[in-house]
Amino acid sequence: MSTPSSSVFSYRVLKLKSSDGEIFEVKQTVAVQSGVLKQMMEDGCTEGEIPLNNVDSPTLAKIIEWCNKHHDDDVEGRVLSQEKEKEKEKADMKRWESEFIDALNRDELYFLLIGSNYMNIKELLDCAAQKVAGMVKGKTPEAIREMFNIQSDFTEEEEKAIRKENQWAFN
Amino acid sequence: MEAEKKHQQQQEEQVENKCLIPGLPDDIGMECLIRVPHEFHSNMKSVCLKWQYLISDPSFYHQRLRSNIAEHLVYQIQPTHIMIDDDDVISSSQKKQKHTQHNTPPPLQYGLTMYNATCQTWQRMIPNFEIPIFCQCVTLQSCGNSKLVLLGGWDPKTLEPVSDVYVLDIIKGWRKGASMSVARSFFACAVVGGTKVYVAGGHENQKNALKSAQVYDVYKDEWGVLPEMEEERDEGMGMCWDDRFWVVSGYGTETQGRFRSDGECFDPATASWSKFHNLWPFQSSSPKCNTTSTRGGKQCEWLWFLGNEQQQQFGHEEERRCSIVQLPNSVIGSVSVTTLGLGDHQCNQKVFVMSGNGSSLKKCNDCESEGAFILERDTSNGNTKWHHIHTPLAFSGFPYSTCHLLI
Repeated sequence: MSTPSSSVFSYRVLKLKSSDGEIFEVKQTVAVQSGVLKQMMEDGCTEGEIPLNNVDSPTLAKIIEWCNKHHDDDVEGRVLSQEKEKEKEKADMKRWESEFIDALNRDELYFLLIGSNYMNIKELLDCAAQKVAGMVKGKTPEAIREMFNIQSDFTEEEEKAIRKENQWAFN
Repeated sequence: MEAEKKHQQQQEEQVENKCLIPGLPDDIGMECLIRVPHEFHSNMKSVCLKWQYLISDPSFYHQRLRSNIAEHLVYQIQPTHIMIDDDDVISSSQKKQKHTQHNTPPPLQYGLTMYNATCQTWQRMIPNFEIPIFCQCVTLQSCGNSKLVLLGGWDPKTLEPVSDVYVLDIIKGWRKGASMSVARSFFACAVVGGTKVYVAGGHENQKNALKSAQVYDVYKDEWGVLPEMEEERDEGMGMCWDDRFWVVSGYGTETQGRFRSDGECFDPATASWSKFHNLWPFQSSSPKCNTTSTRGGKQCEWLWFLGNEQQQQFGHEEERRCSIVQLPNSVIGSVSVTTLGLGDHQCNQKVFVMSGNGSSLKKCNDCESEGAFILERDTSNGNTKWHHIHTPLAFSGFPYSTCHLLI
């Protein structure tokens, strides 16, 4: 059996079904960004509705928005001749990505992480994970606990000792 | 004792049941936390036990390497008081300071600097001891157990050579290591075989050049004695090349300042030294500056960074054991070079290069001296690309010793 080529993908749509039963139609060329859907397409098992049990409809809508933005819509080949143009495009995309991620609240961000991990969309997972990492930067342990709802399990003495130990690092 | 053990076991079980980040499965939590820059890891240790275990776990560092987010750190032993003759490059407040201090030059002081080449940040590290002047620094790379080791040099107050060794466990902090058997300074030094630091030559406190050599097992904190080299080698250069310890050039007590052209190589497999001739053509300088050994793909390479003038001096009758990299025309005098290893592509090699003191050719408007560069070199064809690094004045002193860690 031959593998369908990308030109075949572009004219077909997949029907994705979210965990709460909503159906989303997505072009195959967009859906290839998901490692899981790509595999299914290659295996030729994308007929009918594809249930995504781990992804609810608001999250799936977000994921599809991301994939649509990152999909090079002119498949026939939009040639970026200028290096500068490429740079600009890259910078614009970066800005769009950070606005997209920054607009999410914590729960939405978590659902997006779980969804992108489940659907294996590497770039989105990277970007969302980077956002969470950014939330740790420059914060005191207390502020980190509060941010992520983590209970401290150190005794008071341990806590003191750790703080003292941490002083070596930098000024 | 029993109760303590039980308590620890209980604690571990409790930690096991907790999430790294409540609301996220641990594999995703890990994906997030490995992306936090190294600078904040010590703070993360204090959040909860689970995070503390994570930061101490080799898998955390393995995953950072695998995901290509490990950070390149360059450690430098460099002077902290910068003297610049060119008045043009000194700001008015510094001028005033310079004027008032005119008759009392500041004492010689060296500090430990960390340049994070990934985040492009400079930091001076302040341990709870004074950094010996002209001490050597080396790093041992290991997932979750990386170390920075400082050896020898001079006491900053008495200016006497010291035998002290300090070990920074990147996760746990500083400890004093076992001392060298002699107070040694200006010696050759290199990490060979991943866990051992070799030292050879230099001079002791009577200013006599040394033939002696020692090896330090960093993880056992033990020194061993090596056979003596054939020659005295003060200010020799140490490097690891093909899993052997090389001591190149240096000079004897009677021929101070005249750098030898030969070198010696210690093979740990045979525990013996062999002598090699015609390794170094420049009598007036040590290969400690301007050269570094590096791994280009599978092969070891010895890189020489030479300006036009030096390249002309360099006779071609010498056996070519090195690859020559042309320094940019603006760089005058010595450079300190440290390899950062290979980049994302197997033939993209990166080298951190610190130029000597300020020249009139400023590379960026904010830098008051020429400072540092990252050289990108394609090992398949030798093509090079230089990137200037913004180097604040406080970090622009010419380093005595430099090393690199990927964490």
